[in-house]
Amino acid sequence: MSIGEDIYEALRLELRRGSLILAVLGLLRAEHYGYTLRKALAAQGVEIDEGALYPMLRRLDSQGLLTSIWREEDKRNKRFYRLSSDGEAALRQLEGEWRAMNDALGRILKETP
Amino acid sequence: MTPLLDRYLAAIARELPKAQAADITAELRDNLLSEIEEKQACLGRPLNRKELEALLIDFGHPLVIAARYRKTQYLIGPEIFPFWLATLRVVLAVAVAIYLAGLVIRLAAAHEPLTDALPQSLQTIWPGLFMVFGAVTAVFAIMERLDGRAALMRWSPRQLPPVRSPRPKRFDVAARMAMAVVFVLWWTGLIHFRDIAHTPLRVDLAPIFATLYWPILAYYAAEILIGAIELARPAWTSLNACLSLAKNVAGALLLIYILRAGHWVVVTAPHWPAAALASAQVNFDLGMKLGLTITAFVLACLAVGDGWRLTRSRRIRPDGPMLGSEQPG
Repeated sequence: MSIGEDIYEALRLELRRGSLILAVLGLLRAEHYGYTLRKALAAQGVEIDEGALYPMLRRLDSQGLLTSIWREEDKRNKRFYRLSSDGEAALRQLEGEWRAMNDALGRILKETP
Repeated sequence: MTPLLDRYLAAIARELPKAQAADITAELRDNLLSEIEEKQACLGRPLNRKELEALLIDFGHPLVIAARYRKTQYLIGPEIFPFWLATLRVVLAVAVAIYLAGLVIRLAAAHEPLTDALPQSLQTIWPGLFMVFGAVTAVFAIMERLDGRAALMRWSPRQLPPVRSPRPKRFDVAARMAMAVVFVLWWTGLIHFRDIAHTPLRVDLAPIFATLYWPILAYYAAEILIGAIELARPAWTSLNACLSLAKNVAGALLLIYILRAGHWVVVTAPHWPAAALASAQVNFDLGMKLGLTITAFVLACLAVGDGWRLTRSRRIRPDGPMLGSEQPG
């Protein structure tokens, strides 16, 4: 039995939503500005809407998980983001959570009914 | 190219808090320019207007982009939404009941024909319902802003109402049918209550009841038939609720029509003084008016209840918890 395309898309988005923050925090262990971060995510196979990524960066910044700085590069001012010390702690915790969840899902999906 | 980008960013800026608008749009400008430059490098030429438009459309509608930067993303969030919906249902039901009471009284007192008065009166319900909807929504939107979730989330299973079936009880249906049978027998002249009560006062029904002889008979015959279907096929909740709704609406309209007659009984007493007889006539009519008005209101409320049953029966599956709880044992 196949499910409708819209139902699958909604499920896929729901599945991805939580893990996107983990991917963003993980890549921001190195400094990036919005556009290069998006490119780096895409290069790793994590596609994300710009309209969702840039507000997410602001939110993580305001929550103290990122530090940001305006700096000139290629003759233009750019806002660079990097993981803060709080962000590093949050990333470690989230990574542990994700690995535990991943292991559990792996066991569940491996089991034959 | 730049004017189109400027217009796009200005449209986003208009929707952002003033303190952050310049900073956010400066960042968005740089990100968009980086993307444009990369596309131009791939093409080996500047983007034309259509390509730039496509890029901006792909980026997102200005209202949507700006909304994602705001702390509040919705009027009533998913945690408060169920409380809003439950409150709205109750408040709207109460508002409809109050409106129906007013409608019955207004229609009974109106001088124009019922066919004119009813549509006019029904039109007046919408502004009231919209006001109720707006007021309830405003209260919950304020709770959302003031972080009122914690107060709503405090609950205990002991506060939950007992399980009830959306179906009426068999005894109630049987009692209604029995009363309808007695009424039909009396209405058709097969039994006489007058013979039981020996008083010097004679009270006859006013001519309006003779005019409505067949509609009244049909109403009570329908009551017996609908009751029989309810008893024989209780699982047909949708059909039963539909039939009951139609019957109660018809009953309320019939009573409103009768109420508009303004005179419902004819009191006679051969040996009574004229003043006492006139006083008895007024008192009997007043009593009838009160009784008929209350009955019309009750029927209108029952019709609302049937509408509720109808929506419930469409939502509850036969193996759901509500109906399952009816099973013996």
